[in-house]
Amino acid sequence: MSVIECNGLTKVYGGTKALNNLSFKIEENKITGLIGRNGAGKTTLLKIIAGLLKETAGELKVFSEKPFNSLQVSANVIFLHDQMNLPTALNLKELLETAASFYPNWDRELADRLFDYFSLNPLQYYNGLSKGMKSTFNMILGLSARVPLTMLDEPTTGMDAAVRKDFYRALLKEYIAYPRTIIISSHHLNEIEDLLEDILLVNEGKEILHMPVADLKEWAIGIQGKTTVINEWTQNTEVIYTKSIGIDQSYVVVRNHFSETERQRARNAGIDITPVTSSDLCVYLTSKTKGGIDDVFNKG
Amino acid sequence: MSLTKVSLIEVVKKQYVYKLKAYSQVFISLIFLQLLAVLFSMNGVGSMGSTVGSVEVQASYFSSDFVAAFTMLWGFITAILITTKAYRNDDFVFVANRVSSNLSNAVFLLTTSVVGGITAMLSSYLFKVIIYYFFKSTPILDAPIELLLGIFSTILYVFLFCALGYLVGTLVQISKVFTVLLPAAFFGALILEGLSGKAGTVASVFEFFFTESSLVLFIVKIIVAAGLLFSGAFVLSNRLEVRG
Amino acid sequence: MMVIVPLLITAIIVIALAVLTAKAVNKNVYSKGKFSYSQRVCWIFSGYVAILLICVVLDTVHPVKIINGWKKVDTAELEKESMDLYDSALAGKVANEGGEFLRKKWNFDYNGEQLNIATIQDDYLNTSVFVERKNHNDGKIEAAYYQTRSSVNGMDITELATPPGLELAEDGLFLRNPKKSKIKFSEFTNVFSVKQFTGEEFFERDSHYAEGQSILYLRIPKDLELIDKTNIITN
Repeated sequence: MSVIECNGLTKVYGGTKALNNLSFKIEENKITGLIGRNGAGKTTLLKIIAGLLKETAGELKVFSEKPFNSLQVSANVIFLHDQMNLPTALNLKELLETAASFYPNWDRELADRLFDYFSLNPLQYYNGLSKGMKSTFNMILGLSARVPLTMLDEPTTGMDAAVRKDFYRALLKEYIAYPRTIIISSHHLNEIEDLLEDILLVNEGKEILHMPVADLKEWAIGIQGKTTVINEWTQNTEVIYTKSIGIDQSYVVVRNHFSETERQRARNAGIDITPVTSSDLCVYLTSKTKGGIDDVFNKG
Repeated sequence: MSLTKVSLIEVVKKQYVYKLKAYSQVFISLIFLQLLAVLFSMNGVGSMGSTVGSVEVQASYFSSDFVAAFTMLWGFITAILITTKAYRNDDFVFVANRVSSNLSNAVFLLTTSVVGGITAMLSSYLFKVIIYYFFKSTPILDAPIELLLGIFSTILYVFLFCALGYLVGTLVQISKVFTVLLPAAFFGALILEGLSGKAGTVASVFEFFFTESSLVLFIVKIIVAAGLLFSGAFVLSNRLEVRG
Repeated sequence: MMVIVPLLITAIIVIALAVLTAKAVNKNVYSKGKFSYSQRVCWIFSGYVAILLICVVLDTVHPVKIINGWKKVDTAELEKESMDLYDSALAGKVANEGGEFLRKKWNFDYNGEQLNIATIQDDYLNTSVFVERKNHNDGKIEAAYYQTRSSVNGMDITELATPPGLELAEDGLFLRNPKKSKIKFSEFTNVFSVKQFTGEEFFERDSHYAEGQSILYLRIPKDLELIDKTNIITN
């Protein structure tokens, strides 16, 4: 069963298209990473899924319902982000109690234990927390709610490395014990890569890729060698990224269409073939120019 | 993980309980304003002097007029306040849609009206006691105070002002133009009426409620008017997105 | 229109205060009291309600009713009293029927042939003077002052009204102003949202006065001649 089905989803914000004809499906009980650069439309997409915003065009179904103004969707989705407004009059303990009253599957014990582990003060107020503490508290809300669709937007903002690590472990343990559909948006793909099953890469409101992380690793390769040789080799393939190294060396990332014999020939021609990490690939795929930041400085 | 089914009533109930806590600061401003009104009332709402035979009579009058009026204004402000982004978005952190959010707001405002109406009328005893025990110099004449009627009618007035504030607040949320437009329209109409000396819309709206002498008609008028104002706000806010 | 200006100013003050108190909660955010904000609000509010209820109890236990021994009176009754007294004075029966309203009595010896009755009155004294001739000449003028009860807003203030002075001088009988007395009182009235149903005036204060009938009843010797008969009712 698909939890989210979206077809030609478009959202116009003051004249610009935050989402542009986006179509994808997210299957049940998978952890999907929503990856994209700043302003790619990740948060907008999540807000539409959560029913906070209304799509301008296209179709979106969450649990087979339109999310905007749907109480069923709201009850089965929790969406946490770093700019969340929580009621200022309630302290952290009361916030947890309130959340418990709204979500029938709320795990009080888990919430309390996480709360103690991260040594949060129950009498403190949300607005008085530091960025990292806010993120930690959001995470506790998100995990303890045990909601069929959990969406975490930039969940690790402000967290230090130790807390981030704890968070990833906690998320994975919770997921294994109580499988549910989780969407995590982040720029830190390398950190969450091991956690994810699927990856949805968006750029400028469009879907670039949507595939299992395992496939993504095989999706492209990097080749490096003499520029003339490389150019010859890449004539008929889709070039994702090029970089000049030294005077006559080039590094090029291309789609991985090569057969084993072709690879052998390439090695013989003095070309190094290396795998491309998912996080590098995502950066390459979403960069505006093929050459990246170096082009800015290459006046020649 | 299996989906949970929720009913609208259930969600409204939960949101209502949550709002009583989360919006509790409005009750502090209520106390503050009512005490201020009691202070203003100490001066009396009117006085008269006259001579009866050889007796010169000087009377000061006291009533809960100020307290009731302040409480009505408080209802208006409170309603506007809970339509603002900070409060409205609080709803959508947890389970909510626009219908449940509006309904729980309406129930919350009804509660504040009841609380405001009761305390407004009871506070008349506060200044009675203050005047009696602290300003013993003048004897006090006690007209029969219609406590229950006072509470009931004040609750209805406060609720009417809440409904008005809710619609105003919703309009402002839809477009900031209304922050300028609505006061301008109100004061403009008021000044025009003042200049022309004729009773216009504002005056007739006030008359419509404040001079109604039949309690039954008054109840009907308030309920219909508050109902219309709330439905207007409901319809207008049903498209409102949760941003920021 | 002028009425509206102070009202608007008050409204603006109230609005500003309401908004400020609502915003004040944000300052609370960084404080870590032992009790949560909503709990504290709950207590403060309960305290407020408790004070109000104590005041209600104080008011019922020790009712702030008419004090200083003033009584409530029925205005219609007072009016009837006043008419009756006047009628009985006209009929010459005031000595019998108006006994309860007799405030003061005077007896003067007067042997002159003419009498001038002058009333030195301000507008606040409104005494009707009745003169009855006796059957014989005994050289005595008997004066009696009657006054029915007066009220303000249904409260009996008769005791406060002092009787006028009556003096016999060489050329006549002078009725002098009574000593003025003053009362000050406060009255609680209903809130406007009640008045609109009880038919009371909205902004005007309802005040009713009933001034008692005051009568000076003179019995003079048979042949005593009155110089000025204006303002005097002779029987």
